[in-house]
Order: sequence, then structure tokens, then C-alpha cells
Amino acid sequence: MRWHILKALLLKEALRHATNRGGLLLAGLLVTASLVMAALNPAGEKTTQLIGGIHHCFVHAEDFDGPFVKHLQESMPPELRKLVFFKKLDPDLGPDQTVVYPTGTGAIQIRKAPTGPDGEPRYLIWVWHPAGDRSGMEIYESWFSREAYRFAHQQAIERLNAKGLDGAKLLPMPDLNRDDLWNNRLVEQQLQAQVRLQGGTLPEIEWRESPLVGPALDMHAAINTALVMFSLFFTCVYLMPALTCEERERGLLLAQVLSPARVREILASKFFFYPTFGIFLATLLAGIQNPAVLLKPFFWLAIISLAMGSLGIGMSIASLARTQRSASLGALCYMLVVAMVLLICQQNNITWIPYLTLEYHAPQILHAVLTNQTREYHWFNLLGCTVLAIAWVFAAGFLFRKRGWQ
Amino acid sequence: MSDPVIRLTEMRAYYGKFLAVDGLNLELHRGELFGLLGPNGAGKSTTVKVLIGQHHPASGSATVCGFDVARNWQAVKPFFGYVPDRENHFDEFTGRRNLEIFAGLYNVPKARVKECLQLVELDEVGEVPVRGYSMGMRKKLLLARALLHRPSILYLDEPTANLDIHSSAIVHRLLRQHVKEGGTVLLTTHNMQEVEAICDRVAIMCKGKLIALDTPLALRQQHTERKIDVILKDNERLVYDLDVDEHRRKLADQMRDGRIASLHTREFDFHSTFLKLTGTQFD
Repeated sequence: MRWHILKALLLKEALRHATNRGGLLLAGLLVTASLVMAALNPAGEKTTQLIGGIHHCFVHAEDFDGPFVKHLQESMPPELRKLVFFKKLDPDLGPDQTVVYPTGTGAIQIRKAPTGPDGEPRYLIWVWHPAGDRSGMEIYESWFSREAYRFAHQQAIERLNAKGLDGAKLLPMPDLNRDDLWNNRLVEQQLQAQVRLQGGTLPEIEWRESPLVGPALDMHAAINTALVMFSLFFTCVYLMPALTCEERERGLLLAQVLSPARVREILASKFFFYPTFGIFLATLLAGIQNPAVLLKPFFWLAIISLAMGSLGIGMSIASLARTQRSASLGALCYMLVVAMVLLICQQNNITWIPYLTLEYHAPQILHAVLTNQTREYHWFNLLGCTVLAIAWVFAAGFLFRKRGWQ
Repeated sequence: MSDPVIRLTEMRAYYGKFLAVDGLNLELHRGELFGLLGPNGAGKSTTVKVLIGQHHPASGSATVCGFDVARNWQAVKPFFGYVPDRENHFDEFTGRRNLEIFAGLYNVPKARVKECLQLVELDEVGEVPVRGYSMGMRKKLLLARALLHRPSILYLDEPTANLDIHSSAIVHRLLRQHVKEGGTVLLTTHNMQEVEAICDRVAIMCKGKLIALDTPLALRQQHTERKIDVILKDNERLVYDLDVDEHRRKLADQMRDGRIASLHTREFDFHSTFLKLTGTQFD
């Protein structure tokens, strides 16, 4: 690497942006948007939720292979079939361990409680809802309590029948079709009482509910995260490929390559300039909203990792696209494809594919750090993000050397 | 004669399966202005691309100043300046700024930028953005850029296309000066008069092969037709071959009798020569 060449190439990039002010204008707009948001919500308090409702619910059961879970699975109404996921809950989960549910989801945990004095098993049904969105769980809870009652009712009838009584006559089925959680709870208590009256027992169920730790996705934090991510995407995935392809299209890249500048020096100048620009912009936007993040190493690691990944993606697009137009379209297509993949995976509970995308990890770590909610598992997201970023940078370097400047 | 600065030995180059250059042998020396002629698809541009390291020959070799272009491209680069047929400037920058960026890459002082602008008579518009330049001015700026680092070799693709007579003269003067100072120039052109006027040697290529290689004067001598076109006063048109006795006699008779309205000798015509050699239309 020769300094005079790097200096000339970096100066060229800076001058191009100073002359074509479109990029600077958009950066200015981003800063303005961030300033306006900070001015309107100086304390950074949570505002309204970005999306109402809970898009998925997890039914997490210790007795995963038991008849109750089987009953729940079989009684699933069609409209909930794609929204409810059954999972086994580790019975040895310690009090210091956390179960993590994705943002915008809730959970109903079925835990076993110590056996009661009558020898009957006891269950703890624990409803977890996103903080500030209790009502979003209603549709899932209504179905769950209804089917829990039906299951208990069936068991009670069988037990009474076993005692030589007419269970069906003694325990008529109440109206459960009203979407009224209190009604369902009430009839369940009545059932317990009726069974006890007949000298029988039923497993006791204790209902509990808690908000999930960590905020729901609120508008303010989501827009902050989006602005920071967009600034990196804009500089590295849009601006860099577009300007690099413009240079190629106009023969400017060839002119530079024919000068003493080596391919790796041209690459290095781009690899230095655009992420620096992106990091500066992203830091500025994040700092406007929450200056404290600038003192957090996690923030810097996240930003550097994301900038590196965005750069790799951008340079790969720049190497594959032949013209400025196709580079811009390529950046857009990339964004749409990733968005579609993430959406499809989320809708179908495909968990491993999103781990392979930078765009899965990036919002999680940025949102966490910008809202001061960094947890242990976010370090895994950061690690995943860094590994993907390194892979993208290697791919970009390879592609650029192979065909990028021709 | 000095050692060749550029040497192509049995060079073959393909585009996919298409053989663009077929076994080309060529040597260019210091202080030589060399013209490469040929119709479209003849292999001229591919030859230049091989020399600037933008196309790898399939077989044979291309050496510049003793370095194999394919193997030591980085070492070869400082030796040449390249003027492409299609201008490639940063339109948004001024002419001076364009040259300054490349001066930075070549590590030459900024004073050289001013010198080069003066050489191509663009110093007065040096502060004007290139988007305001005419095609001719852009072409001259390309030449200024190629001269920045005082290369020993200049490759030029149609250097005087779109230039007015005055600008063409400037380019010709600069090229002649360059070879006078010991440099080497390889230019591809379609301008026959330009070749005759400034080139020391000319190579004619067709379908990837070299079909003629000589000085313009030698080509003139080889291909000049010793014929005279005559129009008589009664509008009859005749052609007399000066190498045929009977034709010479008839011509003399008609001149003596005053029957000739007009008479033209057939001068050397590079265009016709080219057509004769290549057997193809020149465009």
C-alpha cells in the first residue's frame, strides 16, 4: 500500500461526493429526521407500538409428549395453525436462566408444579406477553383456556364414569364459545368445585401472567434502529456500488487501474472511505438519540461489524453489476430478497435461515444497544453478525479481483 | 537498430472462441511512431488491450521494455500512457482536477499538471468542469493525462477523432515531439492522411493477421498506380497505363492534337491500397 496512491484515491472519493451532492443531501435529511425525533421526544420514552398484536405465540410445555399438549395440538383452529408453535420446555430450567422469545411474540408456558396433598398433579399455566401489549395475547389465551377446560372436562367425566356415576349428566358442557377469558376461568373453577362435590379430584391449574422483559417494538426505537441501519446500508450498499459501477461504465475504473494504483489499493480506498462515511453518519444518528451509546463498546463493535458487512455486500454487488443502473437495482433487489426471506422464515417458523443473514442480527443488536437493553444473547447476535460480515468482505474481495474493475 | 521496446511474438488472443489476433509478430523501437490500421474486428484494439494488460494472450508473448505484460503488469504500467477511443474523465471535476487526481496516482508534482494543460492548449479552460468540454477538448485532456508521468510509450486509439484541424495539428506535433525525445508511439487510426503524415511505420491488420508492414513511403511506392485518367473534349473517358508503350503513344498524340479536356494522374491512395490489401470495406 502506497500512501500517495491511497491519498489520491481517497481525495477522489471525497471530491466526488462534494461535487455530486445527492449523497450528502440524503445524509443531511437523515440527520434532520433524527434531530426532529430527538426534539419531539427528548427523554426517548417509549411511544406507541409500531405494530399492534402478537404475530406468533409459543406453547412451551414441560410435558411435551403428554395428552394435554396432544389435545391442544389436535384442537387447533385453522386460523391459528400457522401462528402457534409448540415447543418443549426444559424442566430443569433454573431461576437464573431465561427463555428468549422474539420481539412481537408471546408465550404460554405449561409447567409442572409440586403435586398437591390429594396426590393430583398441579400445573402452572404461565402467560407471557410483550410489555405493554397484554391484549395481544387474547386470541391465543382464549383458545388455550377453552381447550384446557375441554380437556379437564373430558378427564372429569371419565373419572366420574369410572366411579359408576354418569359424568356427562353431572357435568354438562357450558358455553365456551364466548371470547371471554373470565367466563372460561369461571367455568373451570366451577368444574373443579363440581368434581370435588362428587368426591373426585382434578389436576389443579394455577394461572399466572407476566410481561416479557424488554420492551415491545416501539415506534421511536424502531425508527432509530432503522435510521442507523439505513445510514450504513445507504453508504455501503447503495452509494458505493452505484459510484463504483459508474466509474466502471465510464472507463474511470480502467483509467485508475492502468495507473500505478494496484487493484488492492483501489479496493482499500473504497473499503476505507465508505464504511468510515457510514460509521460517521450512523454514529451521529445514534448519538443524537442516545448519546450514552457512544460510550458503550458493544455499540462500536456492532457498528463496525455492520459497516464491514454492508461494505462486503455493497462491493459484491458492485463487482457483479456492470452498470450504475444495475448496481442500484441490485442493491434494491438484495434488500427485497432478504426482507422476503426473513418474512417467510418468520411466518413458517424456519429458524436457521435468518441466522445466515446480516439483516436478522443487525436490528436486534442495534435495537438492544440503542434502547439500553443489551442481553447476553445479543453477544451471540454480534458474533453471528461479525462472522457474516467477514464472509461478505472476503467474497467481495474475491469478486472484485476477479472481475470488479473490468 | 536499438532493442525493441515492444515485442509481440506469435501472439494469439481470443474472445471466447473467436480468434481476434492470429499469430502476430511485431516489434516497435524507441523513437518510432507506429500506425496500426485495419477494419473493425481486425484485431487492432485487442492488440492494444494485450499491451496495456487488459487482455491475456492465449499463446505467444507480449513484452514491453523487457517485461512480459501478463506476468509483470505492475512493472509495465509506469512505462506507458494510454489514450482510449472513448473518453473517460470525471465529468463533474474541472480539467485541472482530473489531471491532479492522476498526478497523485503517478506521484508527479502539481506543476506538471499545468505543463500538460499548456501542452494541449487547455490551460485557459483548466478550471471549467469537463462536462462543459467539447469532444475535442476531452480528447486533448486524455492526451494530457497520458503525458502526465512522461511515459516512454504512448498507446493511442483514434487520437484525433473529433478534433478540429488546429487541435489535430497540436496532437501530431506532440506525438512527433514525443518520438523525437526517444519515446515510442503506437496509434490505431482510420485516418489515412494522418498515417501518411506522421507515422514512421504502418502495420495493416485484417481478420487478426498482419497483412502489411512497412513505412508509408514504401507502401506508396509499392502500391502507386502509374495510370492517367483522361477526359476528351467529346466527353469520352480513357485510362492510360504509363507502363504500356501504346498507351503512352496515344496519350502523346491526343495531347498534341489538343483533344484532351482534362487529365489526372493517379496518386497513391492509401484508402485504395488498404482496400486492395484487405479486400474489405474500411469503416
